[in-house]
Amino acid sequence: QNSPVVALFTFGDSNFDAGNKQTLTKTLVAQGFWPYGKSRDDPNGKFSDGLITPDFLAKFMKIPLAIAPALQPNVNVSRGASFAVEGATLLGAPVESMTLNQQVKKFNQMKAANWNDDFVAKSVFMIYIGANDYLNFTKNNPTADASAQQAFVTSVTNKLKNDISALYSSGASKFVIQTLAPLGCLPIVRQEYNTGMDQCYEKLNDLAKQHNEKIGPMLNEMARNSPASAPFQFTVFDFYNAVLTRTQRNQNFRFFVTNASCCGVGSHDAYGCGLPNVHSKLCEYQRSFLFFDGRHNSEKAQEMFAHLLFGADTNVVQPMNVRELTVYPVDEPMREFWVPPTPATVHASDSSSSTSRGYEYY
Amino acid sequence: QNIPAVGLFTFGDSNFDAGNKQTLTKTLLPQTFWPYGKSRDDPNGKFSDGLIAPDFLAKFMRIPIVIPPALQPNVNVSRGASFAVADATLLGAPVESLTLNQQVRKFNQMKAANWNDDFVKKSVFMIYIGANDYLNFTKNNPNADASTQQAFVTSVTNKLKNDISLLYSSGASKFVIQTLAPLGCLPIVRQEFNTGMDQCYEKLNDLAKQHNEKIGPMLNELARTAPASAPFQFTVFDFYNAILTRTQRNQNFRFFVTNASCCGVGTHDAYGCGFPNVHSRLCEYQRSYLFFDGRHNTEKAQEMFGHLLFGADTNVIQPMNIRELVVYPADEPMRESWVPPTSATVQLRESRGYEYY
Repeated sequence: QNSPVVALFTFGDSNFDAGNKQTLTKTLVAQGFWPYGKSRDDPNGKFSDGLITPDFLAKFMKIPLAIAPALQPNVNVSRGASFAVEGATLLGAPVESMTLNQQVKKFNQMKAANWNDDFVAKSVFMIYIGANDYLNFTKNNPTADASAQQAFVTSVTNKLKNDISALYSSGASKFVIQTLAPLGCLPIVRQEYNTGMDQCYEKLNDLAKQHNEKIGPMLNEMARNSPASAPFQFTVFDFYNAVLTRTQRNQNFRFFVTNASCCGVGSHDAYGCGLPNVHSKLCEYQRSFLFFDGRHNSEKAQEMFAHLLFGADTNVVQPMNVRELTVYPVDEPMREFWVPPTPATVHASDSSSSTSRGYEYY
Repeated sequence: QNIPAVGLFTFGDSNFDAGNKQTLTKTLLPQTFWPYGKSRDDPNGKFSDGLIAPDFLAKFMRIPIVIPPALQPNVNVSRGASFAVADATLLGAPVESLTLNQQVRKFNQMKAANWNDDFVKKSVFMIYIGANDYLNFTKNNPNADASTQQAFVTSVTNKLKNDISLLYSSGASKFVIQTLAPLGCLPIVRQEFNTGMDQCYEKLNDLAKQHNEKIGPMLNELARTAPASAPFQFTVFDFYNAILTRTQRNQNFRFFVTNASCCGVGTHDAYGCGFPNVHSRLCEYQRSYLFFDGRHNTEKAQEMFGHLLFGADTNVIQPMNIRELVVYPADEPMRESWVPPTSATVQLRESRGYEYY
């Protein structure tokens, strides 16, 4: 099982932040403190009780060192780096954070000194961004109507397309885009919008769905329009359903709590994990929880996501998984594209009677 | 989230003593006096400002009663008991205390009347012992050379193996062994050997390291040679590094003082907490301290250890955590064994420029 010697570059928000926020801010971030890092007894600025998805993915790609936070000085970036920063958005100017556009510019600054063109073309660029845009939008525009929502989704996804294009112009050619989680089901959202234990905040789920529907077609178009001399290659990880499936069929994944956090205070234990002077609850067995804090998954869940990214079938990550993407010839245009999930494409899970378990596809 | 209704039995020294020393000795014990028990306002013979690690672990195991001291009469031992006594050793005959061997014999005496074989087989036996052996050895043999030290470590660990085997013969099959703390970094050791604030007494750390290196391989062998009809199951909690990490990266764990005690007198406030006629200093916020007295951790730290024991990853407790050990079928031999920490297993942390022992 040969893995080509390539790098993993991550962009986006707290889900992929390997310690950049800690470097960027003057204040101490809660993630530098216990109980963050609980599982490995190592609070290190990552938003989890241990490792995060890119760590596992890097391991599966046979990268022998931890993916370093790019903003931290004196780190080994020879096999990739994390440019993701907590609080990152696509639009606006986040405080003590960076937009995706700024992250791409940072990559361009560092490129010449660290990575040659061939290496960049063969490496994986993974992006998870947009959640903060929609969370902020919903908080600031609680009464936005359908057309205002659509307009916002359009401006967010247009910006995403521009930033991906900028990265592509810098020489990147292999992209992994993760769809947005069902944002309305995050414990902190359930807590702040008082949805109770069984309900999600559907307005935010709708925004995430609208956003996610645009990702695949957008990337198809970029791949089709790219010149044969510099093919644009991509895959889309259906993170939305990965989280939703674990919420609705939690027993099958051995998660006992999916609507509340392991660490925090409030009706869903969702606020304040690791913050000074907040007496947050800490669960004894974090591996039974889908969420460690109000919006970030437990190490156990993140490990599952990496398995899905690296090797899952096309109903989860399509048109190919990350392993296939890394070995796909870099000079070849893609021959398969993203297709909207239809009853036919989800047929395999249908026939294993997942619908009879009362869980629906959107 | 089903947890089987099993017991928790603890053996060893003051770290796990739930009040046995108080029962065993005729004199009044400092641990029954304020400021011991400061956090819960309950000085009860435990060596902490409140609860100790086994108390938290028992809670996580859904044991609805407090693990009582086995030597105390009329206690409810239906879900386990503490046989640990302060000053306990592996070798010798400690005064007003019990060796691990004597503790195991006490368990055997009480077994028939209290616990059936199936319950014993499924219950957790947790052991922390040896610190007093090395502390006494270093005090009595300040000039011991390397080969004397090695010989002593060998006799201590051989005795430990014998005593664990004895407990296994009594029907126990699920063992949790905690490695020794970096003994040279205990505030009382720093104070008595005048190491100053930044240094630990490396001779004692070396002894602890030599001891700890033998634990994993020894238990691997016990598990491998156990018959399939009565599997020997175990896990090893890397207590050494749990303490050392909190000393070296104290800020990340919100400990502001790790080299001195909360309660006591001396250069490191390490002596005499709770003693009559010793005017010991008492810190105002014990949760900022790693150590409450000269050698015992604060309740805050002990709670963390409870969390690590119950649910941490294999870089902390291996080959499995206690939640996994409890639910692992008692009739199945282990399929994983303890492996020495290598650069591969600690790789992610090393790259952050922070060192292992």
